[in-house]
Parts: sequence; C-alpha cells; structure tokens
Amino acid sequence: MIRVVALISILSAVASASGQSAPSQANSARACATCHLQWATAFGDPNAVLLIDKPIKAIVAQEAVCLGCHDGSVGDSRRRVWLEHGHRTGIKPIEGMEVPKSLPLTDGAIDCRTCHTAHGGPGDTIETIIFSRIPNESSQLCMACHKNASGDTHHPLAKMDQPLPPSARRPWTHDGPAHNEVLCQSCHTPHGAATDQLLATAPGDEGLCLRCHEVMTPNAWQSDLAHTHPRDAKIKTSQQRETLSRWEAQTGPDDTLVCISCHAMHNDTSDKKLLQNTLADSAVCLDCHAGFDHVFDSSHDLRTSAESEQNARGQTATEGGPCSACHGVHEPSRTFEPTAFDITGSCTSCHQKGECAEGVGGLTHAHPINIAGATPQMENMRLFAAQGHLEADSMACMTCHNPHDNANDHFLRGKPDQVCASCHESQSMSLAGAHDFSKRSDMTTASGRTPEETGTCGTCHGIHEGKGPLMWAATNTPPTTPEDFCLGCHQEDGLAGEHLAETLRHPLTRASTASGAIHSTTLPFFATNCERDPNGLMSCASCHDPHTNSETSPALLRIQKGEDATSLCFECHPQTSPIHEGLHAQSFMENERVVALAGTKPSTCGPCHATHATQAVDGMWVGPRYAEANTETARRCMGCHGPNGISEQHVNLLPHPQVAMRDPNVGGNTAILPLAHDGGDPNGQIDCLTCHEPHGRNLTGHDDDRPPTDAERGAQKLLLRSYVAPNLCSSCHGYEGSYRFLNYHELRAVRP
Amino acid sequence: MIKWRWALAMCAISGAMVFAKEIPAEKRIAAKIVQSISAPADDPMHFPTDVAVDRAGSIYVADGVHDRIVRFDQSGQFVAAISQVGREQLSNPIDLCFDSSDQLWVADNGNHRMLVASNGLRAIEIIDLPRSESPVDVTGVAVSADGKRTIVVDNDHHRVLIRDNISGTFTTAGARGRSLGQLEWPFMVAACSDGSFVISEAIGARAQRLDARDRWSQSISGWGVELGKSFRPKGIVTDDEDRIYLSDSTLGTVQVFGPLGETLGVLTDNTGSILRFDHPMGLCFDGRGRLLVVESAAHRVVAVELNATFRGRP
Repeated sequence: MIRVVALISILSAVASASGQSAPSQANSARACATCHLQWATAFGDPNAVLLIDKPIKAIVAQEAVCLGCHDGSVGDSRRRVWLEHGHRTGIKPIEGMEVPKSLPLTDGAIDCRTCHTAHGGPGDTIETIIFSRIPNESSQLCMACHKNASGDTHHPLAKMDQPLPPSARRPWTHDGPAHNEVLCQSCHTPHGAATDQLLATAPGDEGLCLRCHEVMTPNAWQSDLAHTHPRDAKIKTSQQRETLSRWEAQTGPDDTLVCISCHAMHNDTSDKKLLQNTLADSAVCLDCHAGFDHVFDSSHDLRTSAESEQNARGQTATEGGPCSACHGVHEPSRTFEPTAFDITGSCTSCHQKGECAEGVGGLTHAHPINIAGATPQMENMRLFAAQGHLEADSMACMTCHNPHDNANDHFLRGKPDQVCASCHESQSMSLAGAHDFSKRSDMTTASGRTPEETGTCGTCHGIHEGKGPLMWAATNTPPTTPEDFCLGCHQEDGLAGEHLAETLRHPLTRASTASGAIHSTTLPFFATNCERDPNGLMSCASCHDPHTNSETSPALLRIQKGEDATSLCFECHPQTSPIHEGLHAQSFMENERVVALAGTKPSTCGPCHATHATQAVDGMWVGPRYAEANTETARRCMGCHGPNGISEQHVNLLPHPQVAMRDPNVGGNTAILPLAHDGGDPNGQIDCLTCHEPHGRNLTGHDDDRPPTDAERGAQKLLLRSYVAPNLCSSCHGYEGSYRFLNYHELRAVRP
Repeated sequence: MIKWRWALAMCAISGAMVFAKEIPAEKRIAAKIVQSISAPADDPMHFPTDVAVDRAGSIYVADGVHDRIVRFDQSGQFVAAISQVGREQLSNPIDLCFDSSDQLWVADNGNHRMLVASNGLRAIEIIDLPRSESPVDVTGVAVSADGKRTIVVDNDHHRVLIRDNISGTFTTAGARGRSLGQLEWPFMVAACSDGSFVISEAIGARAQRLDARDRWSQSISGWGVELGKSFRPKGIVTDDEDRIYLSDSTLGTVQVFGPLGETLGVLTDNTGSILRFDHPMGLCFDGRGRLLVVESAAHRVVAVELNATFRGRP
C-alpha cells in the first residue's frame, strides 16, 4: 500500500469549479470522478436517490478527499501526511519567494495541489500518473520555489562519482535513479519528516550526514579521538546555548552537539565549509569558546609567528583561523607524539627541534612528571593521564602553561610563584624575608636569570633548567648533600656570602642522646639524595626552613616569632625539657653575670650549648670550664659553680671526697648515680653528674601515676637525681648503704 | 485541531451542496449513535481503521498509526494500549477479527504477517504470508464460522489469500480488474454463515462474495453516489441473517445489503436523514447487538443502535 503513491491523484490542476467540466465519455467519467466527486454521473440524474449532494465547488484538493484513499485502503499516508511533520499548507509564500504560475496556489496560499496533480505527466493509470506537477527527480519541483536553496552557500546538489551507500538511503528520501545524486530529497521529505525542517530523520540523528560522509571521508568524526573536537559533546554554557540559538542550529539528544550544530546546510558563511560562521579569525570557534581570542597577537597566533606553518589539512593559520594551528575538529591538526615531559605531545609538536617553535622552549623538564596524589589548586590547572595510566596523575606542559593566555610571561597560568604555590602552597606562600629574593636584582641564577624573571621559587628551583636534586637552579654546581643546598650560597663568595653561619657543632646524625637513642621528632631528616626521609639524617633544613618567613621565624628556624629557639632542641631532646623546673631554668639564668657571659640574654640551652659556634669544646659545649677539676663533667659544672664562677656565690660547693668506685652501670643503665670515667678507667669516680642531672628530672610518669611529693619537687629544683629516701646521701650512706657500698666500692679502696 | 479541520472539510463535501432527493422511507434504517469510545485525551488514537469485540465484550481497536491495538472494556472505558502481543511488536495493525474460538486475528500490516492471539493475548501464533513480487499488503482478515478457512486481503496485489487452517496452506483468488472475481484495492472482509466471505473494494467501489468453494459468486453495490452504490467502501460486516453492512468513507454512510445483494437501505437518523459518520471504516457488532463504527477521521469508535430488525452478532 505504501508503494501506491499514485492515487493521490486527487489533485487538480483546475483552480475552481467554474473552470471544471465533467468528461464527456462514460469510461472516463468514473476514472475522473474517482477523485472529482462532483463529476459523478448520478448528480445529473434527477431521479437518483443521492447519498450525498453535489458539492457546489471542487473539493478534489481537500484533505478529506485525499484521506479517502490514503487512509490505508489504497495508500497509507496517515502517519506521514497527517500526523508527522509535512510541508506547510494554508500559508502564503514568504516574502521574496516567487511561486511559478504552473504551481497554483489556493487563495494565494500553498495547498496540496500547489505541488501535486494527477495530470502532470504522460501516465494514465493510477500507477503511472505523475504525482508531482513538475518532475522532481533532480529536485526541480523543490527548486521551483526554493530558488535560493542551492548554490555556493548551500550543501552541494550534484551527482557523485559513486552511488550513495545503501545505508544512506532513508525512508522517503531519494537519491536519483542511480542512487548517486544528492538532491533536496536526500535529506528532506515534504511529508513524514521528523521536524519542521522536513528532515528525513531527527536532527539529532547524525546518520543524516554521516551515512554519506563516513563513506566519503571515513573516520571523519570519531567519538574518542584525541586532539579533536569531542563528538556528542554536551552543550555546557549559556553562551554556547545562545550561539546555537542565534545560529538556529540543531542539537542532538540530551542537548549534545551534532553535525548540524556547527554546519549550516543552507547558510554557509565559511567559504564552502558549510559552517555556521567563518573560519577567519576562528569566528566559528569563538562563538562557542569565547575568551580564547587572548591568544591572538601572541606568539601562539601563528598568523604572525609562523605564517607559513600548515596544519594537517594543509591550512595556514590565516586560512584555517588561528585555532586551526593546534586544533582540528575532525582530525588532529598536527602529529602529536608524547614526549618524556609532554605526555600530551601537544606543545612539543611545535616546541622541539625541527618544528616551527624549536627556538622557543623545547626545554628539558626537571620537575617530576608523575605526581600521583597531587591536586593543583589553581583553576583549570590539571594533570593528565600518561599512556598506560588510568588516572590523571602526570604533569604536562599545560599543567602550568595556558597556551591561550599570555597575560603572564611564557603563557604561565599565573605569576611563577603562584603557579608553584598551586601545589606547593606551604612553601611558596610563606616565603618572605631573608629568602624572598624577589627584590634582589643583584642576584642571578645559574642561567643568569634574575628573581624578577624566575620568581622567588625559581631562584633556587628551575622547572626546566634545574640540575641535581630538587631542580637546583641557583648555582652551577648542583648539591650533592642536603647541606649543599644551604652551603651553596652560604659560603664565602656565595650568593649569601654575607650571611655565613658559624661552624656547625651539632652532629648530623639521627641519634638524639649520647647512647644513640632516637627520639621521635616532627623535624625533617634527609636522605643522601636530598629528599626528605624519616630514616635519613639531620641536616640544616632539619632546624631551618628555607621557605619560611625570617621575620617571624628568626634565622629561618622552624619556630614562630617570640618562641624560644631552644624549643627546637626539645623536639629531638625531650628528655632535657625538665630543665625548666630546676635552678638551670632560664629564669635563673637571666642574671647579669650570665648575660654578661653570653653577651646577650641567653636561651635555655644557650649558656652551655651552641649548634653553631666558632669556638667550642667537645662538640657543642660553649660554657665556661674550670680546668682544675678532675673530670670533664666537673670541669664544665665548675666553670660556673667553681672558684670565680658566675654561680660560685649561689652554690656552696663541697666536693665529695674522691673514693675509688666500681661502676656497675658501665655499658648499661646509667640512670642511677652514674660515675665519671676519665682516661679509660672502667671504674670511674664520683663527680657532679653522680648526684645531679643538669637538665633536671621528669617527675611525671610514675608507675602509680601519683603526683610528685614535695621532697621530690625540692630535689628537682636542685637538679638532684632520683634517690632513696630520706635524701640523696642516704642512697649510699643510709639504710641501703651497706649493700650499695659493697657494690660500689672498689676492692682496692676497702683493701689497701 | 485535526478534528476541527476535518469538520470543515466534511462541511465542504456534504454541507454546501444542491439539495438531494429524500431517502425513500422503506430504505431508511433507523439508527442512533448512543456512545462514543475514545482513547484518553493525552494519548489519543489517530485514524483508527477497525474494531472487534471478544466474547467478554471487550472492544479492540486497530490504532495502526501508533503501531498498537487499543483495548476498551465492554462499557467503552479505556483499558490498555497494546503495542506488543506475546513477544511480537505490532506494526501498523490495520484489521482485527475474532474467530469462533475467541482468538484475535490481527492484520499486522507493517510486518506483512498475521498474528493470532489467544488466551487473553498471552499466546501468539505468527502466520507468515506467501509473498509474490513484493510482501503481502495485508489489510483485512476474516475467519469462517467453522474456523477452517481464513481470508486475508492483499490490498496492493488486488487479491485475497485463502488459508486452509487445517493444513496451513494458502491459495490465492482474484486479480486486478472490474469483472467478477477481479478486484481493485480490496480492503476488508467479513465472513457469512454459509461459509462465504464478502470483500470490500476501496477503488472497485463494491463488495464481492467468495463462496465456500472459493468461487466468486456475487458483486454487491457498485460505483456511484446514489442509494445502493458506493464511492469508497471500506468496512464490512455481516449480521445473524447474513445481511451485509458496508461503510463508505467519502459518503460518510453505512448501507445495508441483503444476502442476495439487494439494497436494504442506509442508516438514517430519527428525522429520516442519512446518519453521517466521519470517515467511517471498520464495522462490527458488539454483544448487545449494537453496530460499532470506526470514525477514522474523528479518531474514535461510535456505538450505533439499530432498529429491532437489524440486530447483529458480536
């Protein structure tokens, strides 16, 4: 039934009833009256009992008459003509449209008969009559009115070298007898269309275009091809929506892009690309991607920076628009081959040897590429998935550079320090004072760049030109030890030669006690490769933070302003912190003599120990010494507490008689009344440390969790060691003295 | 909107005209539209073509434009829209009939096949139709009272297919033409009690009888616009007395013919004027003896009560 298009015959070339005359021959009467009801012979018979009265005017072109056959009983056009979209009728041609007289209107309006008639051709049967008034095998009927719908600004209508693929043929469409012609009806159908545009399929059905174009240009529109415009991309912004509305363009299902979103079949303004806007100045791109014109007139505008450079389509930037130099909608514009430090291959397609930007960039890349777990904070700053990686965990050029924005030097996404701070905020944003080199125009990096060029971070670290650990860029000699980072500049004739530190006296170890015990600490240790390593060794940066603000953290120490510098000492030496509870507390140290000795108000540890000191004894000891004392400990204690010592008047020193002692603690626990050992004597002798702990004693931590007694507090103040009641002396000379005596006293002492 | 447009069109055809001679009283068959049956307004039928009623009184309407059958209960209340029978998707179902076993036969036009549904449409039999140079354009189906024969109308090929339901084999009858036994766009078919079938011809403008021995035995009506003639005959149904009811979509009438082909009359209203239908197509009787008429252009079915002489069977 569908095939029976013919009967449609109902359409008359006769404009009015007055112009119609019934056929004179009986045989033709029925054939004609099949459509021309008013010509039924019974209407002329006065004795006929009519079932219907003779119409007073021709009704042949009325829809009800058409339906008489096209209701499924001869042809079935119910859906196509009466339910779905069809060519409009009952409207007057638009202004400027000239409808030829051979296509009659009804009261000036388009009607079925405007296009259709049963009398247009040589056929004389229902099957052979020509349905259209004008043959339409080459879209002549369409073009009779739509004269302006073909030509340079329209999709070409022409014979092709090869037949359209069978898959391109849609219901109700036509492509010529040899299936090799692009006609109006290849895409449009006057009846049964999916939309008011009379397209044979829904606009969202890309097949309307792709069924031909995928054959003509295979893979022209792949869904997941890198470096091309995303297929089926969802409309995201209001600007894109407004643009599509202005273009009167179509979108696909779920508001996605389809071919005719960007391409205009009948309004080409793009030099035969059938684009909605011109490629010149990339106008068609910018209509949806506003703001990217920042790239214009920058070195990334190849119209000026590389005039002859051609993209994969052989277009210069002038021909294809500035965007086309890097971006291809349907295929990559260049050969993008990933490199070690540009895993996208986007930038290195130009910025490498032999390419148009070989003189610019093409630098090595010192920053680690794989930075899994990092989350850049700067907007639009993102990581990329390296080949074989599922997660976007790798840096590429475009992590830090925005090729579309030259507001910052080198197309950086911000000022250099801002870019660094996006990931390294704690280091970059707190940097101020001594290590803020931004105003140091006298300084240059190994590559001769000033801090103004490199940013503060770039003075020491070079993303591209850095050498050695931590992208060292400050000097030509890369650090080989963690200390080299500081000493590279803090040395005579170094960049920080005016800020030389005194000789480092603190050992660079992990041990925090003489016995080698290691206390936990929040301060960083470093491996030999200069990276932070909890199992590494102490280095300058354990106590000093090169990225901090020297105005709030003096000497860049890892302390806050006003905080006692020795708090750093307690980080690794917490066992000395009870010093605050005894007579060695800083409050007692702040007497005039101590200040005079130290030359300044001393810190808690300062009177005796110094991390850096030009002169020191036995490592870090910088306090006075009493040379006449028997042991080194006594020499140190008596430096203050001995004759002429600053504390002589406070301590009535009564040296314990020297007795040869046997030390049961040698090599073991030294917690109880240790003896001094000089000259390798395994037995030792009583000295200051036997009874005193100069750093105090921690009274907390009793097994029974009881508070300390008054006696213990008193002893703590005197820096006495833990003893057996009633006092320290009784530890040896009291109730327990007898067996302690046996344990301690050397035989030679009891057996002369 | 569509309804309004059609109303205007029908006015042009049947309203503005030269006054016609009255229908003789003896040819008036009093009838009255007593019910309108429509699908919900938010999902209406469009240009339905046929209607059938099962033993329980449920009404089935072929809404082929929407590839479905719409079911109403015996009171005419919408029940369901059926796009799939069993696992078979319908495509432009255009004609329906129930056989004596209460099986629903569906002319599944878009799929060029017949479907036979039973057990409340849960079981399905697919009957593939023998094609000639092109697929069968099935527009009508009817089953003999004894269930042994089925006539399938092949509209495009101007013929009918006769199925022996015992063996499942097909023979054909008819060819294009206007002589007895020739057909011009046969459309629908109805079974008679004697084992014969009557087939409407949309362009042939008549009905023809194919008797129980597959011989063309009678031509009923003929082309014309006067009483007893047809212009676009579409729906056809027979009653208990083998009277033939023939709808005409252009004339908007339902005429009744006797078993011998004589014109019994035309349905008229209580004033004696012809009872007009809006593009009438498929016909059937319901359990109450009412004639159901598909008003295709009005996208509905109307129930018509006839005078006591004309009572049909479901």
